[in-house]
Amino acid sequence: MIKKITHIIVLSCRKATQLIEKKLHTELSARERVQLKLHKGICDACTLYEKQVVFIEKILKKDSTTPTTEQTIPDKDVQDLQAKIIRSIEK
Amino acid sequence: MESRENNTTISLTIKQWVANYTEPLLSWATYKLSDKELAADLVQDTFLIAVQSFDKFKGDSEPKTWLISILNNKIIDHYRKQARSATIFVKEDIFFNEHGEWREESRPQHWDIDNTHLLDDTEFIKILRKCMSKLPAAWSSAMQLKYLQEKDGKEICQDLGITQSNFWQILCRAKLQVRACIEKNWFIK
Repeated sequence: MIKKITHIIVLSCRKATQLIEKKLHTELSARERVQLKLHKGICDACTLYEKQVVFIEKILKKDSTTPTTEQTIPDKDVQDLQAKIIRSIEK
Repeated sequence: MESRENNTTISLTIKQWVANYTEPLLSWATYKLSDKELAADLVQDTFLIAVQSFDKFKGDSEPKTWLISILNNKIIDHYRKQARSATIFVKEDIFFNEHGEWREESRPQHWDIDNTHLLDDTEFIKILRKCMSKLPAAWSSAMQLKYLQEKDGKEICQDLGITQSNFWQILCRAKLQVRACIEKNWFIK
């Protein structure tokens, strides 16, 4: 029972992680901001979690725009595809 | 007669583009989709669209830029289709207990990320990509959409026809899983 009441005020970790995710993509409401702040005040795990997902998000974003790993496509695959495309254009 | 000449010019230009840009387009698509066959199909579609809408091509942009933008739209379409089927149904919550608290075995551990250059560490990126590939296709599609489009999350939800809270929950489950996977495979070995 006490746990239930605490969770209404300072959120459960499950709910806190959802707000952390939402915060990455859009703005939180004033109420959500306060709830999340209070929760992190008492929860080290979620504080760590936020730091780590912000880091993951940063890497994913960077990786999405500028490939970090080289994709080498075998020459033969490229040539086959080129031939296929030319055939389909000429149809 | 004139239009035939015109068609020949278009055909020659496009053939030149096929010769020049198939490789970079295929490389980009393979990278974005992690699926060789699908990547090849979408590159082929890209050139067919280029032929059909050649008159929309403005000479002031690079052909490659124009082709990439067509290809990106195809990739986004693909992810959008997949993400539409995303559900957050989870049989058993491996991260949280019945009170919504972290399960002991799932609590985030400390990562040493302050003084490292993991952003440029290809080994780390490989692990990250491997962890992403373990997600259900619909979940990773939802994530990819977010990075491919310069759009607010709200707009993406409208596109997909899903509620915002549903979308955050899907992304959150995906992030929980990727985070745990990275921790297990990189930080706490």
